[in-house]
Amino acid sequence: MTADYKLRALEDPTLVVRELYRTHTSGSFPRFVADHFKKLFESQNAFRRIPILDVARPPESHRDRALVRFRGMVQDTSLSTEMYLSKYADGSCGGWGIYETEGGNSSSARDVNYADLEECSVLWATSVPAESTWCADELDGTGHAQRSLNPRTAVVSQRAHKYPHAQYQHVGVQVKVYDREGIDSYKSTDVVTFVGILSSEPCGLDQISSSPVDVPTLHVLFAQRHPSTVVPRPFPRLQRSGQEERSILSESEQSSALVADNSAQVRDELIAWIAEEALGGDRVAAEWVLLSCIARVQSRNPPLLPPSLVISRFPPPPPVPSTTSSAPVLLPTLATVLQLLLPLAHTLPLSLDTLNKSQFAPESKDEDLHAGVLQLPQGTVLLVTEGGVREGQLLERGIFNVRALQDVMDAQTLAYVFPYSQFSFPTDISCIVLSEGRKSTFFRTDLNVPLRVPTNPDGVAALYKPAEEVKLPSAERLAAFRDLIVGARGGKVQVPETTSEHIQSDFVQERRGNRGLTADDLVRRMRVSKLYALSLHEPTLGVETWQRAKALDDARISAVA
Amino acid sequence: MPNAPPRAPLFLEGTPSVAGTPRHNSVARRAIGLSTPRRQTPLFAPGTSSPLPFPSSSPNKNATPTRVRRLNYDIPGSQDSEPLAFPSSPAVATPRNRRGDIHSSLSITPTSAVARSRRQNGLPHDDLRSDASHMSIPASSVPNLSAPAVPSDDEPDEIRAIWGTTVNLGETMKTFREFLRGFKIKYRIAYDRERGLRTRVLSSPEEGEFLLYEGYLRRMRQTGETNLNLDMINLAAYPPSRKLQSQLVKYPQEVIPAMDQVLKDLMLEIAEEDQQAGMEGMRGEEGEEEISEIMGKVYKIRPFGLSSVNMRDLNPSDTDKLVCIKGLVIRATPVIPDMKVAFFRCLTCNHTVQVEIDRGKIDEPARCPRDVCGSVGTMSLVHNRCEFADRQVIRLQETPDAVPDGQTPHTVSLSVYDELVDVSKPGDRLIVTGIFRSVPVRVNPRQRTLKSLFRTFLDVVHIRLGSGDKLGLDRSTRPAGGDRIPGVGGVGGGIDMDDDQENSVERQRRSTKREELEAKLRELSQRPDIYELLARSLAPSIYAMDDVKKGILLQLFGGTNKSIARGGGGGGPRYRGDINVLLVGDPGVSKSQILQYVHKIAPRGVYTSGKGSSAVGLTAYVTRDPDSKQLVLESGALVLSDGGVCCIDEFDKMSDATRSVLHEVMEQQTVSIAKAGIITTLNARTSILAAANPIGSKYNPNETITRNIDLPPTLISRFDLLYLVLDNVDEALDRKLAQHLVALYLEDAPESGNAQDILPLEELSSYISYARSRINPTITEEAGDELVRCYVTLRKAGEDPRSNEKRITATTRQLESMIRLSEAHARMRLSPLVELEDVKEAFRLMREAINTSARDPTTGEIDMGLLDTGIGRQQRKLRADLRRAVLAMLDSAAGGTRGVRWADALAQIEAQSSVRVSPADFQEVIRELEQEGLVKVVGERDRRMIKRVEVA
Repeated sequence: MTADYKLRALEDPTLVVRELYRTHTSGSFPRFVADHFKKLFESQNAFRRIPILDVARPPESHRDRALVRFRGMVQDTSLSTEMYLSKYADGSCGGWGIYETEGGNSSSARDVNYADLEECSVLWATSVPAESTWCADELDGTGHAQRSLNPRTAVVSQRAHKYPHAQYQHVGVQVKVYDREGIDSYKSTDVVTFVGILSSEPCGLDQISSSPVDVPTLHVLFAQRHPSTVVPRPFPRLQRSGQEERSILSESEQSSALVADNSAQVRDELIAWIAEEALGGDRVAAEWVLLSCIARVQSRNPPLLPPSLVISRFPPPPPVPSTTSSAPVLLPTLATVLQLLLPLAHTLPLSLDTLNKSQFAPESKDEDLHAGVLQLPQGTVLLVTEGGVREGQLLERGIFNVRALQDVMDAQTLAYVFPYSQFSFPTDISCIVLSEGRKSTFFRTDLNVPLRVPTNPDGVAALYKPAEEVKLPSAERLAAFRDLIVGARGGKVQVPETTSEHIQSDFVQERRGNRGLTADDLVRRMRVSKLYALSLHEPTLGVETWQRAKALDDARISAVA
Repeated sequence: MPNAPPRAPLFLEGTPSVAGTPRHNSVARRAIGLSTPRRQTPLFAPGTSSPLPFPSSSPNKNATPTRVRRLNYDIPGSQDSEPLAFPSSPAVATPRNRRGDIHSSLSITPTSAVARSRRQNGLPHDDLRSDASHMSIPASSVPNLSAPAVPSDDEPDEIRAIWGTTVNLGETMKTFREFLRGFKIKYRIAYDRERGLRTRVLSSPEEGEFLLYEGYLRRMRQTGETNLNLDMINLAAYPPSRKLQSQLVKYPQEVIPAMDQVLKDLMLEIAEEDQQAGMEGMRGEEGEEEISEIMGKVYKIRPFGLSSVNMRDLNPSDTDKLVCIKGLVIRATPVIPDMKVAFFRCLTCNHTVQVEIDRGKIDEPARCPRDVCGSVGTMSLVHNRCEFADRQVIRLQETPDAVPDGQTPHTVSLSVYDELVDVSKPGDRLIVTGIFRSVPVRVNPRQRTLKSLFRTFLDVVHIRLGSGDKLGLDRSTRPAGGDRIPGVGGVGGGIDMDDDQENSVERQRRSTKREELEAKLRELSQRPDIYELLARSLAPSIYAMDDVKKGILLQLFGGTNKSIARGGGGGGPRYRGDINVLLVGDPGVSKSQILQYVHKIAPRGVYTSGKGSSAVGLTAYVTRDPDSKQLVLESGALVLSDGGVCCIDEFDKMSDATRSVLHEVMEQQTVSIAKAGIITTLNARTSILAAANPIGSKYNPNETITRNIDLPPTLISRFDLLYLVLDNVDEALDRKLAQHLVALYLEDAPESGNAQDILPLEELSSYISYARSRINPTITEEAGDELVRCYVTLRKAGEDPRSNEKRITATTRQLESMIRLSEAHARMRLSPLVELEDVKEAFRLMREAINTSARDPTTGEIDMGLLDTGIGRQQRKLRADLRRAVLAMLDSAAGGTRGVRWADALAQIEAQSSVRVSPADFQEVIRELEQEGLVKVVGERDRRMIKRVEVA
């Protein structure tokens, strides 16, 4: 394919589809289109030339029927399929928003040949919730420069209720998929980059209303799925950093090739940085935060789920002098730090008001699936803060919300509410709860780490310092931190026979001395040790790592008691 | 648009035949209907017989809506009413049999027979298109109709075929007519048998010869019902009409109106036959009235019985075909008046034109069709002369069992019309038969694009409500007298085929996911080790504790709820089928983990901690704990778990108020809530799985269980099974446990880590839900005897030949528990009967549980009294001794008038006694004595004095 041809595809994708139809002979045409465009934009360079649809570049900023790429989370798959006329009387093709406009003749009054009807699936996709800026930049292949152009205009889609966090800026798009092969594999919370033709069409959600509202609609030419780590990183991490993927930061990185840092060192620095910036210097708590960030669902049967962590004794935010009665709740600096480190991180500040009013689990109202706060992509780290909770009554909605989040922590499932039925969907959300008390007010967690920081006003203020005051490490350090965490998230740990033997005899021996030790403790230790090995980027769990992980866990328990 | 074909499978328009020419000469002869003289004869193709005068006995004209064919405005030469006649142009406007669900352009003139007139003319003519079976019409009903069949030269003179096919409509009508007249139950039975379905045994051969549809038709006449439900399987089962089924599926638009027509003809025919035969209620005047009433009615065939497809699988090729889907009604619009016929009037010449709606669109005439006038744009709609029908749009959502994994359910729109409006309510599960439609939608308001994008919906012809047992429909919520589903001809063949058979037929026919699952579960239940397998799968990460797992497994299945139908008080008492289980044991023996597992598996499982939970209420409070100054959450749980399992951890830490509620829940299965001055009783049909820690966090094996846990004996006795889960340090066991866990959690492929097969959580869960919803085992005689024997054995164990005092080893509560456990075990096997083995296992489980929990640590004997009252026989004996000693001591000199100090008394008694006297026992004895008025205690705490009260 010539560059010229690519350019034409970028300029007028509709024309390309029409042309393809003429050359197409047999087999599924949508499949053919998908393959063609996929091949056309196979190289990363070509792919990055496709204009982006996102908050900074909302649908209105693109011209009608422009080729765009949109990285979104599948929010709703319950929209009815549509039938379109795949072939018009004049032999031209239909679909992808190509409609026959009424000509001078009365042909429109004619009946259609139902044999030419084809089906297309309709989904609703939104901007990826919880996606951090650096992750978006990396995937978009754009630098900070372009982002800063973004005027802070409030971009709110017409259907804000379909985005989990309606108060944030986002884009919501109706996605029409013509290549229906494997259509069932699009599941709620999947992160997918759709490349297609953007236009505006009536919303498929208005089934009953006679005059549906128009919404931005993306006619998909082809789609790319993202792994749960979103931005892939190697595990164990390579000694030499400065990969192609990190090209955004590459300006400052040329010299970093020399740094042959070992993982343990990076890990220590990372813990120190988290402790220093977000946890008032408590490195133990920081280490546990790191382990939580690495955790993900490894298996559902038997359940190897991410352990939920509560950082107890976390002071509530200092009172903010404010003239209004509803003072904004300060977010802990940890939220900012997690955003800097993780591709997907979200902060959920709890208060009685939010619990009673917001909707955690998605709920279908009038056949429109309203998003829930917890409808987050797989692999999100969720920071829950209880600092805003006061005494008061929790209403029914609140209780169901608490239960929904508890279910996510316990079983990693989220029940979507439909009229007269509920459907449980798998989630992969690692939860970190910040609680003022000795344990969480609302949730049972697997791990509890008390924060040990001075509770004087200065100490508290340090925990809640604004994002601007966070001291960023050097760019290559930050990249190394991200490599460590993201790499570990995708890693696997083997357990050699010797370690397995050691663990068993260790347990038996300890039971002899300490009758309080139970199977639960063993299970928890094993989960922690696996995460510990991952955090060190060790592909095998050695006896030494096991011992260190055990010591860490024991220290935690004695601190709680 | 050269290659766009004209009107897809519609009937050819514009041909004279459309005008409703009767096809059969014989029919034509009778084709008088309500053709009043005003009726336009040009509408008939030349050569048809002229209308006969309508019988004078007919009721007044206005009350007889007729099925005169519609006015075909677009046929040149068709004369509509004269302009001058407009204001009063009456019957002309009366439309034909018009159904909202069928937008067919086919129109058929009613062929109403007035055989009577012929009869009077001495022309007894048999109109029956009788096939051979015609002969078998009970002779008594139509004695003089056994005339030979009409010769076949009676063929239609025009072939009316469905456009683009070879389907001959006349043929179709004839076949259907034969079907209605000739179908017998035996055909269906033979058909089902061929397909290996279980069939009903007929009580007599005559039963199989019953002419099903003639019976229905009579019933329709008697009840005034106008809808006939037609089981399409019957069509296929009747050899001559086999082809009709596929025709009906492919071309419902044409075939259904044709069938309606046949139905009406036959209604009239049968009515006339009956009248001739002098059937009761059909004699003379009465019969006349009946017939004219039939004449005025619109009859509808409502076909059903297709195998249902998943709504996701409906695709463009199904357009305009008959399909059957299942789903859940989630929303229904109010009744919408749906215009069926638009009435236009020319503003210039007052010429009127009626236009039928085709696919939701009105073809508004651009110009006055009258040649003389011909003015453009003068046709205006006259609303109150238009015809409307009831219409309702229903949104039908996929049922959970039909949704692919990880997908959200889809919904389709249904349009229901006329009698079917308001039949279903949101929440109902429906099996719907209808015509799949695609209608073009507006794509873009700016540019007028047409017919590029289509939305789909179903025009419903038949609705069937999901039956109660299968889908959890609470019959009590339905109006008395059953659901208002119109139509005669029960689903599945009606009265003559009982429900049971229908279900089995249905069940075997459907091949949905649910079916497969069901088959799989059934197969699973046949495994000999099903009990072990399920128990093992219950909490695979928990090692050993097999009996505990089995007990909990049976709890999940539950016994059957029984209520005594007779007896006073609204149907007599209800006996709970829920099994309650209490786990008592050392901390860290995975009690909580078991609870968590159960919570996940059980339908409507609720997990709560005894600490800080209030039993009722759907709200919770965030309060500051007075001790720790921390925020804590107080929540309610029991109501939420109605119909499920409520897992309560830290049961012993529950507040007394909450516990008292539990008493009610565990026996009465209700919760009373007082709110805003109203006391309501909510159902809390929940089994309780509770876990409690012993006092002092370590179980003392030398004490009885009631002393070990801080729970009132009354509550403990309400648990069917009580397990002591003790943590014994045993190196070998520990090693195996560790091995098990390490293999489970650290191996890379955990699935293969453990060789033993376990059921995945979902499967276990669906197995349990399936068993709970479908299986209600009854106790066989053998099992009953065994139950009695086991109970007696348990009771006898308490007899002690050495003393006349009886230990209580079993009470009726244990018997009840045993029944429940046996039932649960039978349910687990998916067996409809409780058999011997079920009772044996229940007995074994009971005995094991009693063994661990009700053994008196001092004597080693089992004593249910320990659990029921908290005191065992040994203790009772001890107390009796103590009481005597105390009285003796007080009566002796030491007592005196001042009494004995508490501590001294205890010391003295203890000095006398050979066994240790516990202060608690001592206090209890004194309290009893005080209540009996034998002693008096004065003073507080340490300065308490015990005085003997002098008996006068």
